[in-house]
Amino acid sequence: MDYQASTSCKVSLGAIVKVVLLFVSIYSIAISFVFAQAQNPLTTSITITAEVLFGPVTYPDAVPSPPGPINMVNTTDVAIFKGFAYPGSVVSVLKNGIIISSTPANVDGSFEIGLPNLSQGTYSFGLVAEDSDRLKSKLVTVTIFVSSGIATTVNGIFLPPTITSDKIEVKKGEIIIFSGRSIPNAEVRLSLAGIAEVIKKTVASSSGVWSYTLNSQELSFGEYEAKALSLAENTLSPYSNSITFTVGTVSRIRSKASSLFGFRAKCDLNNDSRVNLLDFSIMAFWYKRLGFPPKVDLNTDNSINLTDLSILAYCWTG
Amino acid sequence: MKQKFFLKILLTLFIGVSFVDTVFAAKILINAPSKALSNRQPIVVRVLLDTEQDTLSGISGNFSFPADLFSVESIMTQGSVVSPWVIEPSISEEKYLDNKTHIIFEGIFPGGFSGVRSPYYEGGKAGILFSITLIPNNKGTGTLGVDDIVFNSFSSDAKRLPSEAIFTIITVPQLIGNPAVKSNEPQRVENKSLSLRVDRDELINRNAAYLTLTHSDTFSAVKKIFVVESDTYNGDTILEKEWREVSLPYVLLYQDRTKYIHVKVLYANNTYTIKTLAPVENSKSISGLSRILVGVLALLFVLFFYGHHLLTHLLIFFRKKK
Repeated sequence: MDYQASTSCKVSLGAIVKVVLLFVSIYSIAISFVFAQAQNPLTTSITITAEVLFGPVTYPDAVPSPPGPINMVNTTDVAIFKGFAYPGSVVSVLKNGIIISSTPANVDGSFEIGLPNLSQGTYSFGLVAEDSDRLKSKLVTVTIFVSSGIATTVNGIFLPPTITSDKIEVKKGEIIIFSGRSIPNAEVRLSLAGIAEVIKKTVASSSGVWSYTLNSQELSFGEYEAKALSLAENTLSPYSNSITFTVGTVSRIRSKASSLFGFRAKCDLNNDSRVNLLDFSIMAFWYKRLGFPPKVDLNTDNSINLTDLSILAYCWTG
Repeated sequence: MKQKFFLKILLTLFIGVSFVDTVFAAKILINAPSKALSNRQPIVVRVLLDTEQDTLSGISGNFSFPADLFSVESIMTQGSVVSPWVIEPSISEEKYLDNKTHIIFEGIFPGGFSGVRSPYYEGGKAGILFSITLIPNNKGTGTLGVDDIVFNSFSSDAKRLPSEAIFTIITVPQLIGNPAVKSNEPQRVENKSLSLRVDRDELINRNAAYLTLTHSDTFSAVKKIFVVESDTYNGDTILEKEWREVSLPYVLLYQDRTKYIHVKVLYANNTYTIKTLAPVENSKSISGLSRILVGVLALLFVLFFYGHHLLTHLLIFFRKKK
């Protein structure tokens, strides 16, 4: 009897272990897939379609074509980019890191840019928006293969909102205002990350302006990183550039001299409010050389190497 | 016994799934035939980058092949996902003792790279870094490989990501026929995508004027760059001995920009192009001369139109003084 009891006990323990392990495995698989999806939110919004070109394709020109005969070269090998920025913003397309075309966004924040004269091949395109306050969005890149005689359309580009704050340091207890531009009427989620992350929500106006007034009493003393993302039509934009601010004992106004904030401002070696080939050429000049100016050494490891250039690539605005 | 086996399988599954992230790591791929043709036909080797869901900001590596089996005909960067290159794929001048030819490369991805997208598939696929055309020279078996790989993450600290060297075996059979005799003379080509630019910055030799070049469309890796600053306006008439090999950015010898700047770019497919930048009209010496000329012209103009009145006024002035 005792033997039977112990046997049944053993079997039930084994079954429990099996079931627990099975559940843990299924849970791990689910978590892994959710994590993989969350890591790359852009893939859910961007779609790429192809259209065979039988005749002249109509795409918006960044610069109006001069009157005269139709340029037949412009009818093939095009890439078209469609998406949303903010009303009053200028959207620029970068090819291999250089701005090649710019167009103003429509009243609803939508934009459409066509690029003619592309030979067949792989291209890395970047899209960036500059709002009416000259704040730049984070660069969104997409590398596509352009086929000959095919119009490749990249749809659903959702440029992240711009962000700034009225203060660089806020006296604890006083208010700090975060603002920027987004898709009109979109929900804007503001992330404030210090020791812990706090998420605040606001809604952009019909002109795309968003702002959030925060009482710094809610935060403890220390340095914080603020970034924002937009949510419209169930699609999340990537996070904006980050800005830093401090909750301290005095309040200091943020300078509006540069449109680059925080870490990206550090990458702007020639202080022209852009991170582009000029900054790259300065860094390339000092590449693996001694006696470089300290400003060029972005990761302060006392050498100018691929890591510094990669940091520059991270800050790139075109 | 059966239970233990089942437990082992579950545990392996659990551990495997728990560390699923480490499985997705960027890697380099080599696309090459396993065997060369006996008729000495060149083979094209493509070096690709598969990011495997990672986003990269920088890459470097060292591609090598047996020096006795193959020689390089050309290195092409057309359609490369890297732009700009920090070091264009080029034959390393360092001495190696492994009897291999080494091609080093280093570049960045402005805005990050996470794979090539297309209307014909979901997600991102591997993108081409560069392709090399190799000419078989001798019979044998060897390895094509890429090692010393560095992947930098797309983050503010450009953290180094794990990477693994990759090798593939290639066989050259007994070759028939004589090696093709090809001209070593580089061919002149027109490259409209090449543009030159002169800038100044405090961070380069205290506001020195320096030269950079960019290719809006790449087709071949740049092998060497030569520069001449002269009074000659035609770059084609520059003698071979006058060209000086430089690395870019190049700090100009004549900072006042009074000379023509001729740039000869030699590509890895044995072609070259010459581009010229004209002197700047507002350079110091020219502006000095033009100021004198403008002054003389202004004086003549005043004298021509108002000379008579001026003379009368001067005469009146002196008479009154007397």
